[in-house]
Amino acid sequence: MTIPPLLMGHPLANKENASYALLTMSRIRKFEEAVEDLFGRGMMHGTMHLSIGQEASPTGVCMALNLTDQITSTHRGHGHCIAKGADLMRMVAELLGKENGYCGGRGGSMHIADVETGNLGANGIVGGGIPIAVGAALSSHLMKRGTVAVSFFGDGAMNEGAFHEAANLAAVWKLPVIFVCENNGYGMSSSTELAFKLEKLSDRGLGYGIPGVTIDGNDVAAVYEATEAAVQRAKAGDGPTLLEFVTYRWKGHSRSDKNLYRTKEEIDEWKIKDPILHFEQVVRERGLLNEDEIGEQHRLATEQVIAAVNEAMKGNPADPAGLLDSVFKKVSA
Amino acid sequence: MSTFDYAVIMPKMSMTMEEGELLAIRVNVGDLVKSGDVLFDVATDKIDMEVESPADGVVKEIMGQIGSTMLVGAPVLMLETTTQVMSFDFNTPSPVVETPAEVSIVTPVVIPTSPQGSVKAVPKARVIARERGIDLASISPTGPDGTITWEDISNPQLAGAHDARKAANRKMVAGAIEKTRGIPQISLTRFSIHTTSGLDEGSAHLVSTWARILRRNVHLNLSTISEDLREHVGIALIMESKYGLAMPVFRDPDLMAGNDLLLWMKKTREQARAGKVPVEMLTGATASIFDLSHTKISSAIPLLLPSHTTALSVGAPNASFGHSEISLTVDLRFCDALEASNFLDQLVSAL
Amino acid sequence: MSDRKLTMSEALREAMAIALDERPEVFILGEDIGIYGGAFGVTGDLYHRYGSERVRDTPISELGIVGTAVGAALSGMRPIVEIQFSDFTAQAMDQIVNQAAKIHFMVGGGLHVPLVLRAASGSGTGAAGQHSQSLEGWFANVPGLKVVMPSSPYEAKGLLLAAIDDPNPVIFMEHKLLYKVAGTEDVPEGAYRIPLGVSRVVREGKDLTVVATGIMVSRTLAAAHELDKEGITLTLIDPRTISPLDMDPVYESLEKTGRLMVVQEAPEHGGFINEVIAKVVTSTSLGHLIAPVARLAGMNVPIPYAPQLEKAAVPQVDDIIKKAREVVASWR
Repeated sequence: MTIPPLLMGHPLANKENASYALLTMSRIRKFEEAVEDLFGRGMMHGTMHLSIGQEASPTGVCMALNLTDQITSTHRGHGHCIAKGADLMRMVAELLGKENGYCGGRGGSMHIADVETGNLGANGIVGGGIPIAVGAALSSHLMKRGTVAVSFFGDGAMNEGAFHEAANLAAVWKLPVIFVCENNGYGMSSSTELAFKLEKLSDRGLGYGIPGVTIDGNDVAAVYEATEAAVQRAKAGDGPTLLEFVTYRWKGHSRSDKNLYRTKEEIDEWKIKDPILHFEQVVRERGLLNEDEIGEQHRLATEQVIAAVNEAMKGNPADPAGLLDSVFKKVSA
Repeated sequence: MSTFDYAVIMPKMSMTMEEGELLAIRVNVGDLVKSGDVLFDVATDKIDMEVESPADGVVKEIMGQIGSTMLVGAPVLMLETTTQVMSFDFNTPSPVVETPAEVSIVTPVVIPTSPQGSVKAVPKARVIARERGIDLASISPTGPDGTITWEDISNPQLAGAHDARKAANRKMVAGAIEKTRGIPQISLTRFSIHTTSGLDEGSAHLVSTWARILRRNVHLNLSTISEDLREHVGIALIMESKYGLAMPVFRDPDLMAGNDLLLWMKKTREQARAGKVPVEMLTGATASIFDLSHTKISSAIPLLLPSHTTALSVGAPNASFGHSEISLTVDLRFCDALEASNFLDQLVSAL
Repeated sequence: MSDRKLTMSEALREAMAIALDERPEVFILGEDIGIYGGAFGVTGDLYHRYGSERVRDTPISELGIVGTAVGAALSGMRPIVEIQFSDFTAQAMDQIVNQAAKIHFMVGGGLHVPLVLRAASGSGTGAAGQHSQSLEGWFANVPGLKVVMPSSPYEAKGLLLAAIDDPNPVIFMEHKLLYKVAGTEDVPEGAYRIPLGVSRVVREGKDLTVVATGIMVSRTLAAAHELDKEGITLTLIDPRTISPLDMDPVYESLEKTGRLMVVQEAPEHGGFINEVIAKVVTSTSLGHLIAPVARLAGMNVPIPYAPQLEKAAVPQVDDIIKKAREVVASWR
């Protein structure tokens, strides 16, 4: 009930694609809002990194990917997981520390992986997933699978050594990997203006000899197009691409963030550029979806999220009894 | 347009937050609010925070009081909203999360202290000392830094404590025999055809048979000291022990099942060898038996111990003829020689 | 060739060739391992035999290399990473400790990381502080990593093949001084595996149980031969895998000798070998000891450069002989 079939294709190609794109973005939005609510009630342990306002990036990228293409994600990875086809119930269950959560309650928000949908995992280390995606691409190359790997990361990760080493390796080996930088303007509290001496982060591609493109990250169609081009490049054996999607996160870095480093005006300005509202406007203008159909996607998304949360809450809490046995994979005789 | 009631709660804003102070309320009942408008300010030990409205609507009711401290999750104000804010079915009982109680990782280490101040000994020496009941303070350490070594405790020449017990035992036996000189006694001997059997089997048979005879002849079962008739028959069987000889007392052995007595006999011999005869077996003897049938001693005159009316000894069977000598010593104040020879006959027939 | 007294380098190379033949998903990556044949010559001619796709030279990017290996391992490959000096694992710590070690556990079992990380470890070549460390203790303290220390060519080949088979990340610490030394045991020609997590009783004696790791195994063996002449006999136990650790032979031996000595190259303070002592002391095995535990380990200093300083900083054969004599004589 909580996993719709994945769909590939341009978000504005037809009614079906448009519905899917809108539903996916709405699911991400509603999921994050639900998480915010549950966390606010003290039902979730630890902290949460919400991606409200950034929904177009994972949606547009994943509409250009197959089920077998792989992704690695970040600490702010709920959107990537959902867009790649994760089961909402198992995601909530994980955040609630239940035994039927994706990680059996052992990983939490930052370590959700879903092997069946090609999701090699969110990552609690900034930049941790970038070399891993390169490895997945290397694997595809060596085994001639024809799949691509996408590494999602933020502007903050581009200053980690891991990004540099991974990008260089992928470039010299011409691996089928796509580096997707979701530039939301801030590391944790440090703005990109203070962390970079660049206007466009995609200019760094030059340093590795790979193409770099900067795109409006709140335009799901533009995101799709840029990704599709990078996928074709990769599959043709021409190596990696650096995509910079400029977007914005509405909520603080995590729940204890009081937003001291930015102004309310800035947040409001970006809320006007809401990717979901923007897409609704486009599909209306193009006559792809009418008002009712738009409302229907939001209703569906809400229904799916509520069902996922209610179901997840019934699950059993993860049991410490199995901990020691879960560290190593058993060696088969 | 349909409206929905939505309670805006005290939010959890950090991992450790459990309650927050309501600093200020920015709206009044009846105010129109838009999604994102600040409704109230809260403070925690770490930060102050503005709580925003999740949807457009009207402030319906204000439950929180300015300045009060509220638990996370408590409702601060009620909104009537035009868009449905997602709400979940929190009333379904969800399984209770049991966070295991703080487990102390420090396991208390019980350090056995020597009552006579700190003695240093290698671990194995301590183990053995405890097993044998040796007081470490009585051992002279030869190891580095005054530490008792394994050799110190396992070398018999140097285990002074062991010798001390032996000496004590000897002294006790000698003391008891000393008293025998004052008792008027006579000793009679006759031959008995001895069926070979195991040491314990033989002793058990002997002990239970003699006990039966004593019971039939009640006046033999008197305490020679108080002249009271005793209710029970207690046979002290002299046997080899760790520190010399021991004399564990078998009470009413004739009333036990043969197998039970045999097992008891075996166990007692083991305990004697370990120097661990139970205390309750050290009293209550009315007679003593010296079973030499498994040694090379052909005969011995059993001496009466204080408070015993009779003492028996059984010698080793003759190598050629197979018979052995049984000697009975009786206290003449309670039994004459003729009676004694009678009892001896009874015993031989019964064996 | 009937003489199979290979060097550790040769033995490791044989193991990797067997793995490359047995499994198409095995490949090797590292700095200078291809055409150059490896900084210590371990990969040798594998590049020529298996090609540049499967024996991959990399730029100097330990973090990127290990991370790429993790990603490949997650996607069906069995990479063997060569880290030129174990000291450089420091560059790659995030991918080793935060990623490889934990992914299987954190994601609830759905993914695993069959990765082998081989590193040249230890002192004695005059390479000084940043190229001579023994860091196995760091990794032994990270749940999710297996840590192996081969002590001889025979051990190295069998353990490496077992490590490659293992579906979990294995840190394989080779001692530099052993690469070019021919072993005393024949190395079987084909494939054989020495199971991880099983200790080996190298020799038995009656006076002292010695647990030694890495290069200290052969040094202790040399010491044992000397001590035999004096009538002092050692039992020598080589754990081979230090994490997970097989202590059973140690407990059994202590019942007979009552004396324990532990020997490692890594610095004493907070080092791995203390785990052996801890396990004895926190168990009833303690009651068998007739002497305090003797411990020989590296000095708590960075490995110095000058040869006499370098030697003085870690236990040598003579140190082992002296200490063993002392323990047996003082504690009867």
